[in-house]
Amino acid sequence: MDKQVIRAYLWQAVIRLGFCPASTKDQQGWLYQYGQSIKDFWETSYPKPPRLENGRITAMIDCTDILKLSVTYQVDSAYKFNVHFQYSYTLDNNQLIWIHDVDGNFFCFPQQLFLNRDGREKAALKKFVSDDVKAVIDGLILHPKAHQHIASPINNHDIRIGGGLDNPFLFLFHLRYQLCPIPDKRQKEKKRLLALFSDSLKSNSSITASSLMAQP
Amino acid sequence: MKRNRFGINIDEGIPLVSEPDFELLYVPCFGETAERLNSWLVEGDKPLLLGGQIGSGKSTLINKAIQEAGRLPDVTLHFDQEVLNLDAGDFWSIALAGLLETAFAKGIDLNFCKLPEELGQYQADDWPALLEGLRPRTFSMASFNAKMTLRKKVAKNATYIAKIIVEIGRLLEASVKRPLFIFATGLDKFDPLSPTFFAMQDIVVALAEFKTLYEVNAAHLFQKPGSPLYPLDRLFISVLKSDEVIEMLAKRMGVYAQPVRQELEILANWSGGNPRQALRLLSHFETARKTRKRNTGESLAVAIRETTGDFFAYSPKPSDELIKTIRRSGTIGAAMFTLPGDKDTALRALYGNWIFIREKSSDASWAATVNPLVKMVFNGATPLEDQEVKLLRDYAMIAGISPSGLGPCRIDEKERKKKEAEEPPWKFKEKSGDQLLWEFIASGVEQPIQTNLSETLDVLADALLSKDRADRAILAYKDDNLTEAARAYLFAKANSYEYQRCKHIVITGGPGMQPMTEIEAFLSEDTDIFSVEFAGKWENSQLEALDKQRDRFINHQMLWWIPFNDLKDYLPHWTQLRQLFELFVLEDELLGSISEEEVRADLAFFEDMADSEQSPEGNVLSNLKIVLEYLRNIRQGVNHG
Repeated sequence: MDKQVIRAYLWQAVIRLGFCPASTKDQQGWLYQYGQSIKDFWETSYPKPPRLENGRITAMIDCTDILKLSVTYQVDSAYKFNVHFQYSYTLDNNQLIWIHDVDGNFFCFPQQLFLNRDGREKAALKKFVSDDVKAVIDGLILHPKAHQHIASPINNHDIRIGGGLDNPFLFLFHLRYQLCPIPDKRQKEKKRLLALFSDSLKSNSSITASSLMAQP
Repeated sequence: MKRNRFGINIDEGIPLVSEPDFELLYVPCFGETAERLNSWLVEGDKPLLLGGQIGSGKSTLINKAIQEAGRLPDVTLHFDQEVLNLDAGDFWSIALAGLLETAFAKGIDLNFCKLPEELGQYQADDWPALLEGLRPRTFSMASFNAKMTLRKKVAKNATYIAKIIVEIGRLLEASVKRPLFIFATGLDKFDPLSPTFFAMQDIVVALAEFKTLYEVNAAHLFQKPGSPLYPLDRLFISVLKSDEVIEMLAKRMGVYAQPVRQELEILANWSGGNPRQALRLLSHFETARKTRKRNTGESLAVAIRETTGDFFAYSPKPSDELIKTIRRSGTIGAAMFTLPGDKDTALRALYGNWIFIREKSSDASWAATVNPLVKMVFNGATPLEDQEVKLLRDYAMIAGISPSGLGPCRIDEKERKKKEAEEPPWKFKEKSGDQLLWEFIASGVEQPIQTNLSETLDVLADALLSKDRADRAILAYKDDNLTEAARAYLFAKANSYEYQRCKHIVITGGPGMQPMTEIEAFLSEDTDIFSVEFAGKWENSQLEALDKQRDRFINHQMLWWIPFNDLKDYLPHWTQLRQLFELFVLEDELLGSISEEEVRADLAFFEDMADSEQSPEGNVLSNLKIVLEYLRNIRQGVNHG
């Protein structure tokens, strides 16, 4: 089977196994553990815990220590969310904002539909090798193909904010890695994720939030 | 304390103790003092006074030197952790118990006297029972009463006890076959002019028979001839150089240091070279810049103001003349510290960190500076000549902030200058940005700024949310009715991510009360967050006894609730204590910072997740319900009183 095809199936499987908490309670638990994991992963302090307002989960993750940046997410569902990036430097309270906004009501190329029609998922999940998992994790989390760097005045080329990520949990999880300024942690996290997802894919079992958020 | 390998490690300036502490955070900054201490540890055989001002790094230096020399003390006596009455009975009992403990460990035969029987209810050779009586391992009312009775007997027989202590010391010395190394720690917590300090001088004499290291304040180094401390060798810990402070702060910030390097330089200047002051400034700066709507310049000003409040609010101020002399000459005569009468102000200024001394500039004088945090509260000081204000202003310029736009000093500088040009000088009253900044910082000494509960939580959050760090806060309040809800709110937030057992107690001080006993009992409980409400009018002796316990609280997360009207009376007695506490004055209006909607949103999130009461989520829920009810009642006009 073509490598590209294997990786396409893996791509979808990684999202399904790691980033699709089903019920509202699972989603709350996932986001709670996400906030909890930030403290040790970035070696800073806990963010404020999430809130549930009008059925929407919101929280602010403070990245002042890294980039003088705060990240506020609002998750309505697995298909609708936004993340505000608010940058405040020395502009006397003038803040710069960009918003990563995903609205599932609009059309997007239906990758899953075509893969389902192709019907080779089981075969693909038997044939993958470590390099395939690595490529998929790179594309989803560590080095998304389409990404934005933050330029002046920070100019940190190691930060790559993936532009094409439309799953809220995946997007937030990739921020955990991208906004971590500790090279040692990033290096170890690569290895950990490779092992974690390789095992999960082999057994086709979902990854719990606590395993996903574990420290490298 | 759990430390981050690469990230941020901020605390309130507690001493470094463990190897990881030193590996990650230690900056070799004690130079010749460290070398001399090291050589004394290895080769010395006489007693030594090691003195430094509050927060200068004495304990860290001692811990490091002991680690490097590989010479652990044979006996360690903590004079700041078991004092209940601040009397000779306490001090002699601490010394006796410390030596007995070591004697047991080394299997020394103590049958040279029958002290256990002589002191009371024990068999003549039952020394372990005596030790247990002097220093019970578990707290109970019976053991506490027995200890108090014993200590009274010890005080009555102090001369005899002194002889026994020396004798046990000699037996120990014969056993170790080298000079007996005694570490007398915590003497630095005693005001050099207090009767308590005089009460403990006999102990100093008894221990001077051995190779004893006395940890004292710099103020204790200035003794008059005839004082028992006068003939002892001494070592002084000076303030740090600016680049050493910057390095220390950078280590605390780990990988996060680079983006704030310039700000660390400003903070180092405002620290006056005192490591703990530098750390407190950093801690407030970190909180301030994370709080939205503040730019970096404002955050620096706020950090300076908050640190000033923590350390100096309501402190009795030294005389203007003293400060003027130091400012003019950059020195202070050593005689100023020992002359009787009104010159005592110099010693108090030194003990309270109003001034910093560096090194002897001649036989008769020391290089000295006024603590940058308090310069502006003295007559004759102006912002124009002040180096620290200038640095802050220059920073603001470089960073693209108007110097007049730093924090609350925001004024229209162009408009001000226009008015200044138009009006005759005697009519022009408007203040410059520098002057306003100067006054803003100075106000920290006069009165702590009020904060709402939400802002208070922002400052406390780093420590309150995690068991990794234990900080302490004094929360002064004007309205009794809000304290229960405020406490419930903080308890709820403390359980956001980790289950933390929170316990609250009301401790009453005043005539005939025994608040220290209650505190001792409370501390023996197994809990994560200790909340203490101060009731009654505490007497000076009770406040001072509490002040000496400072280091005993180091490992505890504490919230102290004090009526605002009492704060002014209490803080002047807590020169030591306030070093490890942050100070907040809560606004009367809880609704001003917390809305019902926010609390409902918090509740909604945790409601689905709570599996049991004994979980972080369950704890959050039960406490948030108290807050919600309070807010509802307030809205409906229900009187809590």
